[in-house]
Amino acid sequence: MTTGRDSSTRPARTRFGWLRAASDRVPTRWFAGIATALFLAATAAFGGLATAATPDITALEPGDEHRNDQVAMTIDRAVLIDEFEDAGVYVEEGERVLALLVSVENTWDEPLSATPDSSVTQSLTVDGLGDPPDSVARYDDATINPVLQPGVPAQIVLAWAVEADAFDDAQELKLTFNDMTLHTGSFVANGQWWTDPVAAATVSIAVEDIGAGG
Amino acid sequence: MRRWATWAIGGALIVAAWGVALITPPEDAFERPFPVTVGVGERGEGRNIAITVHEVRRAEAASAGEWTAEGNWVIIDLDAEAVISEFGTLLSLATLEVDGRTYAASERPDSLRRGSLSVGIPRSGSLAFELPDDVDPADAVLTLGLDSDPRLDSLIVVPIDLSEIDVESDAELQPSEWSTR
Repeated sequence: MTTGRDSSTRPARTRFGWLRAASDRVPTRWFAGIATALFLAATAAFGGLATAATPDITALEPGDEHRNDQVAMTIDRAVLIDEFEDAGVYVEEGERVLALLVSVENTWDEPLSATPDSSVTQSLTVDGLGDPPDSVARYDDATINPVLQPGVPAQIVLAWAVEADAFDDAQELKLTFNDMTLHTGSFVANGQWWTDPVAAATVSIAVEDIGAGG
Repeated sequence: MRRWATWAIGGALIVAAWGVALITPPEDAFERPFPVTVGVGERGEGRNIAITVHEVRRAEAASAGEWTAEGNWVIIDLDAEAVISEFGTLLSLATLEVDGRTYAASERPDSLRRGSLSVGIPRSGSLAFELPDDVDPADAVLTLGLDSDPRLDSLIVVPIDLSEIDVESDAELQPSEWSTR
């Protein structure tokens, strides 16, 4: 019966009538337009739909320093040598050692451990050598896996055992410096570490074949 | 309800919410370390580590045995012992904080760094910290602990004023041995 339905809906209508009146004032038919305008404004604010500029990869001269918030690195020398046990690398038959002498300075405010698989070695990649170095050592006192103290410069040797004929004397070695991002652990992880290497600069250096040593 | 009562209750609730936000411990509070702060020459005892820093030296070159290196060195002479257990008790955490930077005890010389500690018989030796040449340190904080992860264990914390210490030309680290003090 119509009268019964009226009596049941009328109290609800009076109770929430003000809500209905308020929502009727909201210009809902403009929402699509407002949303579109906001989207376009936000897009324009972030540089429009143009392709985002990729970070430039700087080409450095040999001996130039690459510096970021984590480390400063300069490649001093690249040598090919028969064996280099002081640097912590041991060769098998038919192998020689490719060693990079690198001046590094920790530019962060915490110590950085320079192990073969550390953020320090990930900051440097060598074309033709996909793997991390077999060993990292200090050049002055042959400390293996040295710790880089903040602001204290050090010369370290990154050494790879390579096939004896993989590199030649005077061959240009192309190196890439990578910038890393400082990650702060949360939830189940704790602490801060450098991760996510992105190529930032390149440098070429000629390999010196120094035979048995020198 | 009267209008003034509504406002009073509303205000009281806002103040209460502010108070709750103020006294809520930070997120990492449940895993903080337990620092024991002592001065140079005092014995600091934590859960399973007891440290006495006897002397702080500064030098332009540090040596230990045949090893020697120039630099801006801070050398800490100390006694260290375990308190309740010798199982896996190494002096794994040894840092010096200066001007917002944290330096780890140098692994280059032989020292008490990662030295094994015994209960009741202190080990005596040194720790060496290498600072940049251009840093003229003043206030420093030495932190020592058993785990490189400092959370939820005792830390011995020793504030040091490095500006009062004369810089020697050469300083030799003490050999790590049983303490005779």
